[in-house]
Amino acid sequence: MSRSTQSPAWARAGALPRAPRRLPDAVMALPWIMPGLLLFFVFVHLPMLIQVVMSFGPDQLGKPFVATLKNYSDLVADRKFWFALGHNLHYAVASVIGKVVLSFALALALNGAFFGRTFFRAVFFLPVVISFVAIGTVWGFMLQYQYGAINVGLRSLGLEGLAADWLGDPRFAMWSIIFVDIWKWTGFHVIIYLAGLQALPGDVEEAAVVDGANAWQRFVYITVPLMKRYTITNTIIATLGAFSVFDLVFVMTKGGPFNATQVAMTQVYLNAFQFQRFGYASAQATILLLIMAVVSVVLLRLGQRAEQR
Amino acid sequence: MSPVTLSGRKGMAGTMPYLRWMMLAFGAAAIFYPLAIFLINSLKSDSQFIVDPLGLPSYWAFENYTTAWVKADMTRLIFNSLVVSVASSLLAIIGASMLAFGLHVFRFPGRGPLLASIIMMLTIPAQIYIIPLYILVINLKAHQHLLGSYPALRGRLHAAGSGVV
Repeated sequence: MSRSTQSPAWARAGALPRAPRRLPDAVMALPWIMPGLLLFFVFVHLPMLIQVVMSFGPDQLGKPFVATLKNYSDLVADRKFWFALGHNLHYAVASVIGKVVLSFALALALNGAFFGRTFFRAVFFLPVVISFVAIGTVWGFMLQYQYGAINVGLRSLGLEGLAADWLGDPRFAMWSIIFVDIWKWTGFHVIIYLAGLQALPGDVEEAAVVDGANAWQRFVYITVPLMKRYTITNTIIATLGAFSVFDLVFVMTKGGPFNATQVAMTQVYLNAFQFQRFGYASAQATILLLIMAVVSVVLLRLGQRAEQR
Repeated sequence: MSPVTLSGRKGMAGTMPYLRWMMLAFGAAAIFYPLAIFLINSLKSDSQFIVDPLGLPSYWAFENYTTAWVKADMTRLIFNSLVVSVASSLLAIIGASMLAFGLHVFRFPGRGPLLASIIMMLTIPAQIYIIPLYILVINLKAHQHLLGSYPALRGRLHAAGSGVV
């Protein structure tokens, strides 16, 4: 917003036409911003701060606080954690590509006026509002080996050889979860792309038509570049989601089979709530936070550079 | 409506109308099918589900719902969810709308950083700092029902926070 240098909005609007002497803005604002700020502080800032402090503290709760780097040195040597983080990377690459490509295609199809538009837009947003637990249960059933709809369907088509234990086989478990994640979140990214497509300047498109560009050329040289910033937004959101994924994994596989779907957050969960190693788990979460911060800053920078060109 | 868009006048609708319909129909089927199968199976008896996991039920076992409702004490669960969602929505709507008003109307030192920190916090998922929250909750067991509403509250704060921005 660019009005920061002018007098406040309420004064300009004439709410108090000739206020003789008003309190400074900082005081006036206080009663309005305090409740919300308090909520944010207690539930967001404070826990984050405590977590960073805890990561330098003792492993178990209740022990006297001595600041050390032990949790971090443990973390460096913890192969399970880095292994799990590798899964996050796999998850991020696959789910981001899947979500971005699919949602872009769907947004193109959903854009403009056609019969059934409202219906289809609602349909693709439906999985976004269903809770992770419900979706994990539904797809857990779909992917189940013996009675799951996918395998039963494959067998009835005579494709017994393609039926697999989608969640119980280490080769497929991660891909199955990624698939379900794409299924759930594509609708969300479609909304972002749709907003972008609605804001597309029509004159560029028209000029290209006049210049004799065919549909494919217009798509590649106009639509895709103009949508770049939305692609970056979607990529950042999907990447951050991939690095912090927990609920879906926990509902569907709990990190199994044979740790094939362990991700960073399931490691944090295990260490904190199963092994009661709160200090260590805090260090893991803090590192994860740092990674996510770095990833989003890098993506933002890349986006800015791409836009300047 | 919007200005001329790719698929509006020319583009997709003009050159490949069937592609759009095929894509959308396929997508909608991919979304509805698992949900429909799940719904249908919820109305089958256990034995019938094992024999035929995909077909329609020959006998519609509506008693599954009454059994589940009683066994899982759904009345209680739904009441709890209601308390959590109503309380957290109210709190977040009131807090966030006041905060938004305060930030929009008044100019004061530190406003920029404050706004930036709120936007930044929106990008960080709550799972990341779940441990201190958990400890907060055990330390305040006396107020358990209040703090239990936390995850939902956080979600609402997110939604409301984007409203602030």
